[in-house]
Amino acid sequence: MQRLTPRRVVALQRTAGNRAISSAVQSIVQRVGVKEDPTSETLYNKTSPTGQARAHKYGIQASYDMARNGDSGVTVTVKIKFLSQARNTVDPNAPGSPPGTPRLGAMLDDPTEIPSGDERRAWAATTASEAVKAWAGRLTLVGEERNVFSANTKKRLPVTFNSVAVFGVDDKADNTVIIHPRTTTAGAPGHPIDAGNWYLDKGNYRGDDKVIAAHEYGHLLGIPDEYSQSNEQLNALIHQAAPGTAPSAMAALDKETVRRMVITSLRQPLKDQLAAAMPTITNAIRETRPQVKKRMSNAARSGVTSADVRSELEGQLAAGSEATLGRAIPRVVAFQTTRNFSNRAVAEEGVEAGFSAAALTKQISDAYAVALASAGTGNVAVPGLGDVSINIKSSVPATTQAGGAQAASATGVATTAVGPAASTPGLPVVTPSASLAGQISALPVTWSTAGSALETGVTSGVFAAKMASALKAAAKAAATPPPGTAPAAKIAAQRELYIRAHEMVNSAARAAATQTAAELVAKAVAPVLATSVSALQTQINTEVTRVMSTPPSGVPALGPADPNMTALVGAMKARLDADKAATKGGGRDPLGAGKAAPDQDVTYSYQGMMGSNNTRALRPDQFEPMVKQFNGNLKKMFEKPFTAEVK
Amino acid sequence: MVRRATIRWQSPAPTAIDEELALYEDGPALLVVRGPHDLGPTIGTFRCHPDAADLRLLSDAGPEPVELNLLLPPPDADAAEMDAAAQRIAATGAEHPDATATFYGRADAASDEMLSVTLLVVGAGLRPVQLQLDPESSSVQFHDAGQPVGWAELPQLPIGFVTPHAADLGGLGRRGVVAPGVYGAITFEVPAPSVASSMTIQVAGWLTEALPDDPGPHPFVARTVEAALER
Repeated sequence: MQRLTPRRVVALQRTAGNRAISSAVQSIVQRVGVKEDPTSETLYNKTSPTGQARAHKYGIQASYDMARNGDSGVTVTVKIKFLSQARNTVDPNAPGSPPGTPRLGAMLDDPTEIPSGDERRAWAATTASEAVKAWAGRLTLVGEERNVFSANTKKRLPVTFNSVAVFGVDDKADNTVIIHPRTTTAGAPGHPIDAGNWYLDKGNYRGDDKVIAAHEYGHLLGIPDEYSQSNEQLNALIHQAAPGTAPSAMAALDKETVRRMVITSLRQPLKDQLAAAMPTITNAIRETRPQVKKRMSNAARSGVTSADVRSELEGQLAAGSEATLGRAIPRVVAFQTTRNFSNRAVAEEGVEAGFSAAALTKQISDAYAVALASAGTGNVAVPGLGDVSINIKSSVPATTQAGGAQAASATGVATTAVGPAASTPGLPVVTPSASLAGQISALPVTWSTAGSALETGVTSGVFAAKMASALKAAAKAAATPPPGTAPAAKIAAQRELYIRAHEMVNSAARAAATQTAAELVAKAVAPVLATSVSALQTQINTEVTRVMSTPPSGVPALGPADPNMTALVGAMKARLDADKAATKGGGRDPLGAGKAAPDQDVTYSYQGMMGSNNTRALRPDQFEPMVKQFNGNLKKMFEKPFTAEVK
Repeated sequence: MVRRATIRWQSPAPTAIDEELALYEDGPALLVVRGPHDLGPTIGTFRCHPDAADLRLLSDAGPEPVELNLLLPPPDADAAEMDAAAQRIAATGAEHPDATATFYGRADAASDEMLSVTLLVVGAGLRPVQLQLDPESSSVQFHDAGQPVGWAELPQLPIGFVTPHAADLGGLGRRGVVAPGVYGAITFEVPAPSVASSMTIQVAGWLTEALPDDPGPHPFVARTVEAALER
């Protein structure tokens, strides 16, 4: 048979047509071994003494086998060689350790073959196959073949990713991993888990090795990490991923970065300011205790006799008593919920518990902290790239701590937002009504009006529902105690029954009163806190827009600025600008290119398989080097260059 | 108290592992579990007992937090060694609760379509654990033969945890305080798929006062051990 040369193929194509030629060569498997030159990547995954992110350089090398099976698909195979090797477990710094002891965890002697039949072989094969599951069905190479006399033939080559375990010391492989036997526990001295050492016994190790293996597989395909990136690196990544003509997403991302730097730096000053203003708030709320107690007392008197409460109480006493006491239970319940029930005492205790200064302080402080924690978080959708997290390093909030350069500005913003401290020696405290403290302090004033939170929140129905729920939960807790807890002995005497019923009624009523009082505060305060945090974010957004993108002619329309907020936003923008200027031109791998990579205040992580690894997201641009290998080695002569299509 | 070193292990949801080892110049080594690495039912603070070599290794890293994403490999040998030393220290805390809460779930039939679910919390350690439930982020998850078959949101809860004697422990809309050895329950009803044979409760909320220099609140997520449905 004559060899198919390009000239013969063209001649055949003219006489027989493209399709016939394609079918003639379809069964031929073309194969290329890809081993690109070692390269590097720069990650900002270290921390400087001041809390900034510090860059570090890591090696990376693509190594795989790529085979084209005609027009039916492409298979990419990575061979992982699994061997056995000991590590040093003697601390060279420990007293009495021999001179010349290598560092803990250093590999000792030469690697050896894992014996046939050793359980590590099966484990390795499973782990190797698990590594590619996240890559299956994700990549298709898309192209077309030119036809002379007809329309071009569209081609779609699904790429199958393989991972093959090999065990011979001299076997060719793309990567080598040492597997340690079950007798060695990961995490023991000298046995840290790293990319080159895997363990059958993971001990207390917290990582998910299957997910990590999938991520590591990406590096063998030549895809670098996309987490812990500087602003400059992310900019380069956006340009890599987005079409060249697309408008840059960086300006919007920079604005969001400054917003988050500001809110992050304000969280602690805001919480501190609320703590300072808290006596003003708690005093205002505590002044309402008489009216709350009065209403609670009425609610308790009616609520305790509701059918639900009595039914739950009777049920619980029946379950906890000897059967002989069954007939006495309704009488006991009736007595304890009427003649022997002090609704005033319950209201007194419940409201004092819920409205104590300590309880109110904790409740309101916690709610504010939760509201602040969710502000300025979440991923940012970057057009052309995908979701990105913005990670503000601790160096940023450090600037607003006591003694920090922005402490005065942050305190000023916090004081305006929250209100002044409750006790300023020698001065009367005036809490602005628009401040958070002013708004919360004003809430109880409305509680004496018709339809108020007090009127709708403290009713016999609310009280009864809570008391019945408390009794039901108590019954369940008694009936099905957690492991290691003995169930209570059954009540055998009437006196005991009266005592238990008294305890249950009063405990459940106090719990209901305390919860009702706490909910009165929680429901009133929650929207005020949400509005306050939202207003602060709006103020930050406005100032960031003013500082970063409003032309001078548009500034008057934005209204007068808070000079403290202006100073804070300006300072954060200056930090970001300085970080950007210091890394400008460094691209994605500044340390590999011999460029500067100074410490950064903010890092970014792509939310995908090669980024933070918390989603399986992949992008076509990540496969460009692989596509280039395909087009350079496996593309047929009449085919246009293929491109990557990713699901 | 002065921090000597902080190591934090994290993974994003759905596993949401969040454990923090805090070493102090003038105090104990504390492990705070806000998202257990075994995806289990216990959260809170544990007291650890580091050996001198591990303490030295971590102290050399300085007080700035070292964050380890559990879905990524340790970036280099130094980070791997630090990770291993921190994990050894963390492991010493397992049997030494300082202020922990363990959750349990129980379920039995309330009607043909509804289940009565009980969420139990048990305090352990040397001081009370302080926590608040986030019912909107919690759920009841149903299984059959090891496979998920559905889930239910928590209904509006009237009251927080109460003891078997109906004493108030709190935890709903305000901090709950659960002392060592004390336990309490919350009950509620949810619809359940007819094919479900067991359930777990994903308990989400906020943990406070877990560390002396970081009172929080910080979010937590725990998962009760799978419990059979009794119906």
